[in-house]
Amino acid sequence: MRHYIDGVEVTPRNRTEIGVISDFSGNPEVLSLSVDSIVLPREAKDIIDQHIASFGLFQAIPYKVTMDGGISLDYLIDLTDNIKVRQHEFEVKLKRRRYLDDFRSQADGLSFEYLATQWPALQWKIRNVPYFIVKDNQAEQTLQLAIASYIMTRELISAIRDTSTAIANLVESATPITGLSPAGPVISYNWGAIIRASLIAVAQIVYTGALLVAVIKLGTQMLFTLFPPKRNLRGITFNNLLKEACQFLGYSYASATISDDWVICPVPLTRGTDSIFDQVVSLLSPAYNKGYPSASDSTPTLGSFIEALETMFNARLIVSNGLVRIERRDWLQNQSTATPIPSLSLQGERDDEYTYQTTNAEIWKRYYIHYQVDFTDLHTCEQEMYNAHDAEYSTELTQPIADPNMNLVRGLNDVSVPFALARRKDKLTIVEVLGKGLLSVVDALSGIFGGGTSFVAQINSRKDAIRISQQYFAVTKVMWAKEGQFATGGYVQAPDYLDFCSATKLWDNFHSINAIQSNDWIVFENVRVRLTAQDFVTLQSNNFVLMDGELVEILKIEWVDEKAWAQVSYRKRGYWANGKTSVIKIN
Amino acid sequence: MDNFEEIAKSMTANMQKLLDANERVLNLLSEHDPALADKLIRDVSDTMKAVKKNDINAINKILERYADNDIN
Repeated sequence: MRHYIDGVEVTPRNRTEIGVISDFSGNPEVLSLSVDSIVLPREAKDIIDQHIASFGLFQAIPYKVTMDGGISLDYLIDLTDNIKVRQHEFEVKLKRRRYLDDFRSQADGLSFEYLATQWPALQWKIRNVPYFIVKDNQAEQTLQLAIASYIMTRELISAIRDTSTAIANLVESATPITGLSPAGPVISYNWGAIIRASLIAVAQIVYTGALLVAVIKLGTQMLFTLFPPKRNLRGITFNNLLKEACQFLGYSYASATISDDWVICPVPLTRGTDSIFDQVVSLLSPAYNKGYPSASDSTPTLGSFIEALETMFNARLIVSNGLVRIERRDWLQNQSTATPIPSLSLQGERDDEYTYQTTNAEIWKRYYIHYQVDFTDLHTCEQEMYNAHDAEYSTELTQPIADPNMNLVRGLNDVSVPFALARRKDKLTIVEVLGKGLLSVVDALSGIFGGGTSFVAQINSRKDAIRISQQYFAVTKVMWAKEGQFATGGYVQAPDYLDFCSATKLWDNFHSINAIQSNDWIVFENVRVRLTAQDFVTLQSNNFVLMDGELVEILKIEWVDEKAWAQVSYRKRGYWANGKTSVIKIN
Repeated sequence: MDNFEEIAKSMTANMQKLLDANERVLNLLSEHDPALADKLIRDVSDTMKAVKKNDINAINKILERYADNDIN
């Protein structure tokens, strides 16, 4: 193993003791040195001194470790992490570059607000999310409509009656009067009656015109107040958000687990928006959210967003050679790279001691997956949204047990997804149906003098968007939507969206692999094996290997190339729950 | 909703009858008092234009003249 600082070879004082530990159990320090720190004397100390003099402590120093076979591992010296300075040496800690621990620490510090200011490409990936506000005061609105309907109906009936009278007067006044003259029969008219009837008729026409204008204005105001127009929030797909954030940090991104149809719609809490108390929100008002999660969202940083996705999709973050992946936790197991490593052979001194892996992740009585219920958006609280927001499962023993107290299947596996589902508006509400009846009158009447309104068409178009109960809501929403399917360049869910994003589907597609009978592992610890440098590097990308012809998952490796051996801890199926437990769905 | 549609149909039909009858009577009136008939025809025409523009002020002005018996 050879060591380089910024391209200059150096010799750590404790070089023969330095090994590398790989921990695959979820610890952010996936790859660390087997010693707490490395001690850098002489020329290495000079390099670090010069670096600090030039850049201070806030720019890391590249550190490379090379091994046999041309394998190299890139690290960085983290000058902010408990560095010790002595007269002739530095004692420093290393972090792996472009690997999980390095990426995690960067992601934790990257807010999407900051990303938006530094990375214009993010804005190009943001799309509209059409929405309607459907409030919870449907009864009050129904009453308002009923009153408006009564007044309008009364006026119209009155106008019909007056119109009928005017028609009768016109007909009567224009009836010719037949008389006789010396020249024979003559026809005359009562011009006074005709003029009077004409004046009344024209006045009635003008009055009806005034009534029509008033009715049209009523319809227009009703549309804007009772039925606010379709407006747009902003949203972005999970994958596009991750892709842009990773690229900003110098990584690429891919996922076979997260579909491009997953969309995040952040909360509408932004600076500079119009007050809904001072004016009616119009089509021209700017969107009330930014399209990317802000400080008010469930996941304001890349790190918190990734953690949420790991929870939601039963996933793990994989970072290798600058490629970031978020995949279901068994993804690596199914990759073709999980090939046997010939040199990984068990040594003679290994005994067969093992333990059962019975932590809460593997042994659970209840498995509860739930999105958030957002009480500021009441549509998440009822009907299919409430039904879809959670799913609960129970592990049952297949053999009866006499004393329930002896049942050792216990514990809760709580999968709390920090998002709320967005509800699709796929039909008219009761108020819209009533309003449509009233406005159909307006449409019919407005055509009497030509022209005309199309309020009914506008009411009929009030669907194919998300519905929220007020302008502001508190929990970041997620959607399952295809761009452009119902809105040009925007995201609207398909009618069957819950078949893809409900909590039950999260179980079916991502979490069902956590059933006890599929996770009855036995763990072997500190088994000494021979391992080449190439094997070690290969294991950084995929910790599933074939051992004695059986697929096992490496949990931890401690490797010292100077000694040409490694100690591994791994787990494999023990089948101790096979046929002894089953999972039932509670709701 | 059916009631609304009936009222709208009734109103539309009645209004059309009134316009037709008024047109016939004003044609008749034009033989006796062409100036008055022209004014009344113009008022009806102006009302229709105002409705199309949703101009309630223009209609009100016409209506006020009739209320004041000042159709000139």
